[in-house]
Amino acid sequence: MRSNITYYLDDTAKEHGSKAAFVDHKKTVTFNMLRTGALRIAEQLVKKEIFKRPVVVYLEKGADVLTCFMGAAYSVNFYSPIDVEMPAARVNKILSVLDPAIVITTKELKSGFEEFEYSGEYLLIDDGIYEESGFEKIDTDLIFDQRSNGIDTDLLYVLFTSGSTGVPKGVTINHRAVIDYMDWVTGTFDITYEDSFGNQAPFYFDNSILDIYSTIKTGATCYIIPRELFSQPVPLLEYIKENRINTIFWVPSALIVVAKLKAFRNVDLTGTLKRVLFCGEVMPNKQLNIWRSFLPDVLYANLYGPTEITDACTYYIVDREFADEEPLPIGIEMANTDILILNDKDELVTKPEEVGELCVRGTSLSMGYYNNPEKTRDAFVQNPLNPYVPETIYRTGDLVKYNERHEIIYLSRKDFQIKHMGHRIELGEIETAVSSLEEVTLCCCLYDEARQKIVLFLDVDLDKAYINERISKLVPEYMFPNKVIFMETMPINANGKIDRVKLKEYL
Amino acid sequence: MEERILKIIEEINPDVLKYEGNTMMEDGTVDSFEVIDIVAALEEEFGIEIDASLVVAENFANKEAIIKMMAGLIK
Repeated sequence: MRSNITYYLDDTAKEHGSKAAFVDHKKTVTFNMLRTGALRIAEQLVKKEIFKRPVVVYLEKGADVLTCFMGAAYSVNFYSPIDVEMPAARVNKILSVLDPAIVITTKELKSGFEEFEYSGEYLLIDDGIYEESGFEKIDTDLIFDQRSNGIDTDLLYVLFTSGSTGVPKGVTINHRAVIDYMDWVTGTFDITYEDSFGNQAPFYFDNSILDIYSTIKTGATCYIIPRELFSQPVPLLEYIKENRINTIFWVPSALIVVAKLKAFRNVDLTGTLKRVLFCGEVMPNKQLNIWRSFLPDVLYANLYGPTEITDACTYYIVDREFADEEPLPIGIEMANTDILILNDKDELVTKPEEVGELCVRGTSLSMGYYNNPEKTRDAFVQNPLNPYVPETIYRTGDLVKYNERHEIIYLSRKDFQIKHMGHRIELGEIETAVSSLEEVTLCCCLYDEARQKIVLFLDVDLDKAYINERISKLVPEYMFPNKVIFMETMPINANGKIDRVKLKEYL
Repeated sequence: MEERILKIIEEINPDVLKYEGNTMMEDGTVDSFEVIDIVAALEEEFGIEIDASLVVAENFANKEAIIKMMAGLIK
């Protein structure tokens, strides 16, 4: 039984120490380097008496980020990455929720972070952390002693997601949940040290958990694909081929770009790609069928799940033909996970076609939203089917049903949360940002599913570029409205609220 | 031709017309979906096929680069 994810890194470093663990556009970090760097960071944290506290990692996306994550984990602290492009107002909100014990960054990035509302400690890193010489000087006894004082329900990470009131929610995940998920991932897809991942997900997005921890557990290699390649399909596929990447776990929008431009005609990945996994939003069969026609021998799997249950809780391995307009099932529950579909009377849905909310029970569950008991109470509730002992389930807010084969089919959201280019967004957070403009009295955001556009309705005639510039200090770029529609009179419903149904007609 | 191209771009993302640098893709002025939309709309408007190999940062550096790429395709 393992109480900390870093025990897996110890094993893998012993067995595959000189093998590449994480490769980015600048460097290759082997498992030995990863462990050495992480221990150097952990040593600093232990010496500063930081234990079970939040550690912010503020770095450009790359292999170093993962070394910092492991440094936090060795010392039984938990990491929370902050993207270097995140707007200041959002960083400040996160910092006020998190109250970090320390910020790990570089000399170059530190001055940028000093602009935020934070006056605590910094740990500055450079390539020196990977130096093999002097390894014996690291006080590993001190680190391992602290590690042995942790248990598997101590937190490993906190990832922030969009919150409708404008305050991001910090989803907390413990070591046990990730260990449990990794058992499932590596077992189900038979991942070994001979495999190589092509990472797309940003490290502040929990899809990256699969890439990161499958690599650490099995000794596989993970290539961190440069972001700009995702709008250049031919160079992207060439990158996969050159590096012999055989497994990808991407958001559907990244797969769609490749399919739409039919880049497979330029680069043949037959014999290179073995597994194509996706999660984060609905994957249209129309685009998946293009992938399947060019690469018929690949294993395709649709994973589903919110951050709150550790990346994913259901999966469907594509095993039959689908027409373009058919929905792809989100499938069945993963091992050691229970899915309850509850109707509006909180009764268990068992028959096909009846709609209910997808709720999750299991080790994978988040411990709650960090420093936010109110939101935690709303989403993490007592299992209504168990009156006997305390048992928490997570209510996803996703409406689903079973099909005739007893596979789960995703239908829609209960509320105003959307998935746009793989990002989870509360439309309310965009509305809150836009409302802060003095010109605006009424505004409403809708999502045009068919065109995948965020559409903003306004009672004042403002230019999209102007709005986006103004809100750029409040929300990240992926939340910017793609289209702005001026309404001379905003439709209002019987309750005196903006009539979203009416506005839908303008899409 | 130039006018028709600019009109298409404007409909998909007017920010591109105002963009003055030469790393539009890297800067995130256009996202990958908008790139696809622009490609699809140009293909339809001019009845041509834009090969995937042309969809690279260099050809989408700014609006001038898109026009130059199109000029090479329409003879």
